[in-house]
Amino acid sequence: MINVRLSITKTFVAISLASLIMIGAGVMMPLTVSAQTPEEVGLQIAKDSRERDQGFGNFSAQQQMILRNKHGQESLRQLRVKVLEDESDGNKTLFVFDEPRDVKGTAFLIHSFKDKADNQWIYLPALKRVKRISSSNRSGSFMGSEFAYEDMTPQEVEKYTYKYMGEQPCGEWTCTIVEQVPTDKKSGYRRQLFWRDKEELRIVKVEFFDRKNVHFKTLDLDDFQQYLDQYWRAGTMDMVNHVTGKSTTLTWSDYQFRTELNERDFTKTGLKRVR
Amino acid sequence: MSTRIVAGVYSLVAATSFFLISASGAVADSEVFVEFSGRIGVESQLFWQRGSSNQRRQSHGVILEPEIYVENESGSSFSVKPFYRSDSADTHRQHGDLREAYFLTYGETDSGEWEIRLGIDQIFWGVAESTNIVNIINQSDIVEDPFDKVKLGQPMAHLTLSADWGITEFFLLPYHRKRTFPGVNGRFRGPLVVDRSNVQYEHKDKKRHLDFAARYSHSIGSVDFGVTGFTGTSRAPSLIPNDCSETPQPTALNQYYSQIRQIGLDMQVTLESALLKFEGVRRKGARNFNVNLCNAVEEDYSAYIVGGEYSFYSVFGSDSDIIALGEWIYDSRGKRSTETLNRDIFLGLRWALNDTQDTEFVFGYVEDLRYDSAFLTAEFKRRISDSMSLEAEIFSVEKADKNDINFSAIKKDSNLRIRLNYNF
Repeated sequence: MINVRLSITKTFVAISLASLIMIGAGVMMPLTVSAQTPEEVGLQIAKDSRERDQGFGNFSAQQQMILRNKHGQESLRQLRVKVLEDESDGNKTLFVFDEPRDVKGTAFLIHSFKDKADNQWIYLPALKRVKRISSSNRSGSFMGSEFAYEDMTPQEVEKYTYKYMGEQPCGEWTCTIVEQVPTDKKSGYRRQLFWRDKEELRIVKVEFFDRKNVHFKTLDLDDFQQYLDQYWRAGTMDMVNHVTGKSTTLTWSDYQFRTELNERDFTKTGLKRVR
Repeated sequence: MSTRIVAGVYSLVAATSFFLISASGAVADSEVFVEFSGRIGVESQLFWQRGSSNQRRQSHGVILEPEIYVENESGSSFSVKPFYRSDSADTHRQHGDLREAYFLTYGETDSGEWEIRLGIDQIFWGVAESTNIVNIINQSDIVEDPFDKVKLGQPMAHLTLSADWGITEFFLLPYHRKRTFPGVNGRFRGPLVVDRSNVQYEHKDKKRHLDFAARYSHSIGSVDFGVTGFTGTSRAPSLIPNDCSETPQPTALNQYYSQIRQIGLDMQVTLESALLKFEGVRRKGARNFNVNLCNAVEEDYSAYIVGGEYSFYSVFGSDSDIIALGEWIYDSRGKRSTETLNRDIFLGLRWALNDTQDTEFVFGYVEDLRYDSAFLTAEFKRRISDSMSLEAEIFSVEKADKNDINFSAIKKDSNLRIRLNYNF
């Protein structure tokens, strides 16, 4: 009784891996670093990244997460993600859980905004209850993984400040490194370093610094594939926590762009129909 | 039995319409998606002591809850979710139900969409955590949960229209489900057992009375609200002794279901880390509670829940979240209220470790504001493997005022419930 079964309430989700990887494609952009300050260059790279990812309309994909603790023990998460683009306001995102089985059918709906906090709802299938939840949990773990909610929700360009840090070789490519500082005080990060290849602006690596400025997590992205001749997506994302020794491998599959998804699938009524 | 027949008819109608639709779709390249899932649980309940009527100290059982879902190309679907529990102590708790068996189809309108659900379904209304007074569509399955959280499947036709201006829903409810009650050997009951076969209705149509309900809901900024209305047969029966003569010697309680009208409002304001909640109802036509059960009369009333929750994320630098909850429950009938929670305070704390096993603890405390009564709950939940999960729950009566009939009836029912689930 007093069945405060918000149980999964905190298994918050939101998408930004999507937005992370969504960045990159299209227009070649030779950097003219000349007369600009590092801050201006950094912002320009972030804006170009966003611009290259606009116009995809909608997409759906499967996500598989393998969570490893420091002893190498693994556990599995399986979910589906659906994203509806809204260039004027902010994207709409739906996560549906398939594994583990006890949370199967649980779904999260996120309406993002450029200038204010997200609206989020969770659907609890056992109770057939839709609950509006707070979106202020930015730094918490997403489904017990090394990804935080803020890694999974859209990172609007306007919500960060930037600084160009230089160039470094990254595998076969050359990468620009941009420092990104969140303006949101609820972020778990003091700053992040984004490594993007110069040609296509694909994010290939992100280094995360906690509030004490300790480099505690690194994300490596790989297995890039281009969709609709424009949108680059990483197939594999490896997040390693250097402090705890834990890691999470997120694998994306079954990407489908410009599907029949529409506004109606991202409403509270649509949320109750989710399977 | 007749319940099953009606349920059967509903499933049949829904199934037929579904397959007709799928069949028509089959001509034009249809792909049918079928999914089988569910859970099997084993549960033991251990009481601190024998019951007030000397009931046994333990009960054990198996719970089956499979679910079949079929969806055709157009998105129309059919789902069936039967439920069965065995119980070693109480024959009334050993029971089955069709929790869900409905056909669903939807489509576009000029300004939004429509959706129709036809068959047996579960509808949840409300925002509070201690109890949901606005939640009225489904009958309570009291033997599963004495505090109204588990519901029986309700036959219905359910139309939803949504657009930019909100969501409007209409319900036709053609069949009344009577409440489940514990049997002679069951716990959480008063000295008299409720007679399952002696059910009276105020309306001549009895359980076939056609009830109506509607809801309008919307989200505006940080506010989500719903306005609801219901007219028809009450879900909560008035319990009347089977002997109300001048020198009564009752042997059981009979159920009496009044015709009622209810309007309700539920609202939640979502701020940064805080949720503010309100539920309120005005109900007409229901009988009240009288210490002498034979003398219960109709009394219109209002009831409210005001409360909220506040979340502390990543506490003390860990991955843990702590959510603090508080609710104040008010019923204008006071001591004449038929509800367990009528003038009470609920305080709760949820601690989620956010580890890979989703370990979680939930504590709840309810203090009655009229009587010197209180109870405590403590829950623990943890996943053991990708398909197995463990749940344990303690219910403990801390104090029971002897004038408080609701509480003193269950004062010996403090217990520990352990359940192991296999989810597939």
